[in-house]
Amino acid sequence: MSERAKGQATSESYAYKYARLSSDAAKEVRAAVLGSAVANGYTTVAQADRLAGLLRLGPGMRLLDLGSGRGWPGARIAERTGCDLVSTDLPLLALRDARVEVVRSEGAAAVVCADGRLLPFRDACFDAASHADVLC
Amino acid sequence: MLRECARVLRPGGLLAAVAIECPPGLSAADAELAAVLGPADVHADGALVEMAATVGLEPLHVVDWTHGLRAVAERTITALEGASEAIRLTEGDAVYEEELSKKARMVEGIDRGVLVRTLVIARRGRGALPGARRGLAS
Repeated sequence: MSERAKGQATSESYAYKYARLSSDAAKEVRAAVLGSAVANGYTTVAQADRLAGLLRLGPGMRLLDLGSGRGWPGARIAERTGCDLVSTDLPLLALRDARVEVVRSEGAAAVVCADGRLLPFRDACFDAASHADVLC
Repeated sequence: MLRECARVLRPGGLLAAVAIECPPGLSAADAELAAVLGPADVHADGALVEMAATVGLEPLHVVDWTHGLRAVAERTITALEGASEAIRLTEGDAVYEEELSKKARMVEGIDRGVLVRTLVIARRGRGALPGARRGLAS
């Protein structure tokens, strides 16, 4: 499979992932398991808080959250540290939810539809980056 | 993706990367099993920590989060079963069964030693990055 075809397949599989399990019942399951209805994947609230501490972020610093899905865990890290946040992913359904989540933090926040393999950002412009269970 | 992370991080900037991956040294048969039991995008191209180092990210901490992954998968099974009626009604039987099966496979993969979840905290070095592409103009 070519790189382009692989990218397309990955994008479609994640679009499918976020199109399902979006009901209130599914959100309640996520909240019970991970500690937040916004969370996606396997990172719990406690783990997101640990990441916030390890990344040594604070107000005025900038975090890139790659493959953020619904804004997780970047929105939580930004909320805890007061840093600025840029969340990126491909599925628009997930980014729509992320847009709601990222504004909860006090720092500046943006949501960008972008492929993690070819980021539309200049060199050396982030103080920290996070990505959970997304590798390509 | 790791290469792009390194490029957009300022020198000294930190990356937190978490991945579900195959532990090092798996046989071909076990790697195949991991791909069946793990998530579709299970990372099987080499240890995350080694990959980070090759793109100019110096690993500072490596933490095994496998125990947490197993706990989340098990709790999800319990929560899904508890909410089965509502989930079946709103998401459909197929989605419900698929989710249950996915999480059960994950637990099996961990118990059989073919799946782990690793957190790596790495720091972008201060020198030039190996093989980095040029980003947008500053």
